[in-house]
Amino acid sequence: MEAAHAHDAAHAHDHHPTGLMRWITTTNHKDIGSMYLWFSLMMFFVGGVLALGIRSELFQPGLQVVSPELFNQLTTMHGLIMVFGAIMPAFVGFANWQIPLMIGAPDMAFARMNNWSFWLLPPAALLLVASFFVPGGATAAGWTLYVPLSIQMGMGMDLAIFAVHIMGISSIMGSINIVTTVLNLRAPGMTLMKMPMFVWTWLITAYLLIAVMPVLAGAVTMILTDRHFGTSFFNAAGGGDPILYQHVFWFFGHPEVYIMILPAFGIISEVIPTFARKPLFGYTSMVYAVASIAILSFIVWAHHMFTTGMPVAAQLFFMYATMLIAIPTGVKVFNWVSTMWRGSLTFETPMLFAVGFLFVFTIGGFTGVICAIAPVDIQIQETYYIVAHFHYVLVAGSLFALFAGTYYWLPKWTGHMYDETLGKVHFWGSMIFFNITFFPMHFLGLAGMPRRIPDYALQFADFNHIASIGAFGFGLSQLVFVWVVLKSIQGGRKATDEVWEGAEGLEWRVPSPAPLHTWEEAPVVK
Amino acid sequence: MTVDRMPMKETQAGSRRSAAWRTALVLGSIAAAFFIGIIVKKGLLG
Repeated sequence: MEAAHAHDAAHAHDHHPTGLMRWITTTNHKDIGSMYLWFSLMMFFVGGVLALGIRSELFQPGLQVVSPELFNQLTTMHGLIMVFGAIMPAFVGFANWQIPLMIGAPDMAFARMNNWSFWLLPPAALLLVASFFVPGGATAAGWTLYVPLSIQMGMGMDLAIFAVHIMGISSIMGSINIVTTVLNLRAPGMTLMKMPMFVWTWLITAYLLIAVMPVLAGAVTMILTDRHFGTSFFNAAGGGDPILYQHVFWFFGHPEVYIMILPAFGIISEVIPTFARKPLFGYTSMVYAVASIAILSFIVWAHHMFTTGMPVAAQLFFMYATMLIAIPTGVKVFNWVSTMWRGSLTFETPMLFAVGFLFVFTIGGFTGVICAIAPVDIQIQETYYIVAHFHYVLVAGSLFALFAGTYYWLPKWTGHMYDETLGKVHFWGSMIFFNITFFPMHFLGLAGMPRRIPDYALQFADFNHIASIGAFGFGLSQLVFVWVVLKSIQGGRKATDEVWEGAEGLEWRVPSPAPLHTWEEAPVVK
Repeated sequence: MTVDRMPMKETQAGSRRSAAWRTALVLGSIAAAFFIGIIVKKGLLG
């Protein structure tokens, strides 16, 4: 009793700033998680508007809406903003909100560094968006920032390099925080092999980030010195090697793909067991599959470079190493399906997105195996087939999993159930329009339509027409999502603590909405 | 209570605090080594 009073008194003397200062100075993992999620949602719409600019231009052949220069800026910035501004921060937002709740920790290990990790992002985003307005416009070298283009670009490139540096520092600090939290602040009894899959996937993802973000930072630093300080790392005119840049970039870039998909696997591994009312099938094999995917991601980078001219032995190595990834990925898909097998399935919105993920992500996985075959890749390199493939992985994979996770944990965050009907409208709108947008791109690519062009030959017109209509439908569907989230924040049916029948895990043992401070006394996990 | 604010005198909390800082130091060093390593090995040495 006395301890309880002391506890109250301690809180009564907490001087928390209010208003804007609360958000600027907060060290609370839930506040910071919310800020990450709102930030990524905003960037998702910024990147989405750029995508609609691209699709407007491609609605019909010829040049109608934007100049070719601006078109290249749109494709580049769409990629950069979606990867670094939308998908990655969204997963970090989930990590911030959920990891301490799920492992029984009171907060992230380094709470002040956590605040700093987040607040680095808005200036970086501002730099990226502002680069459209500097002389020469935004960088148009593609999200890969390939040389020699990135050496020749105007000032927009410098802003992009600076933004990548800042976002890289943010990611590295965030990852160190996550690894430290998971390794040191787990509740008593929560051994590594008892951790929820979402925590496992983030632990492995954080290691990947720590290993590869510095490599990207090194690559763009070398571009920067090539541009302004007279070095010739990549500048062929000074004896540098442009292909070296591609090797360094993709040593970062391929693990980056898994950085954007492993936490998605984690979310799906939480959602499916809940709505199947069964424990996850093959937990141990899931953990090893995620670790295997992460390790393999370091030895496949040159499959992005089959057309640069490499020895046959290297082509074979990278081809077979890439194909190997299908095995642990197949294990995961098998386990998710087996979890559903003979389960008491219900299809609320999180489950719809999870099952949708399974169907559509698997298509992206299969086209990935097709792309991995060196002789095939040489034909489809730089075509719309590649665009179709990676959107199936990143939109139907990462984004759909983010939606599944949002609907799944939203009642825990807001304390209210979301509008199920609107959620289902959002799901079906997203699913249908996603496929209308991206499925035709496979045919366009196989027919030879190159990517990153503002104009195209007449025979590609029909499929582009369909894709553009789908893109606008997909964009409109996302407004429903914002509506659902805002509605759930404002009110609605009160969520119970457990929220979902059959939900397992520590996060469901705290009240809904989760109070600002949770697990001040660590729970004991049996 | 986060590692930032853990009192050192509480033995268990203190050891968790130093363990956390050790973890962060190792991870930060790995990141720094990759950043410098990629420039030196790939860029300068070729």
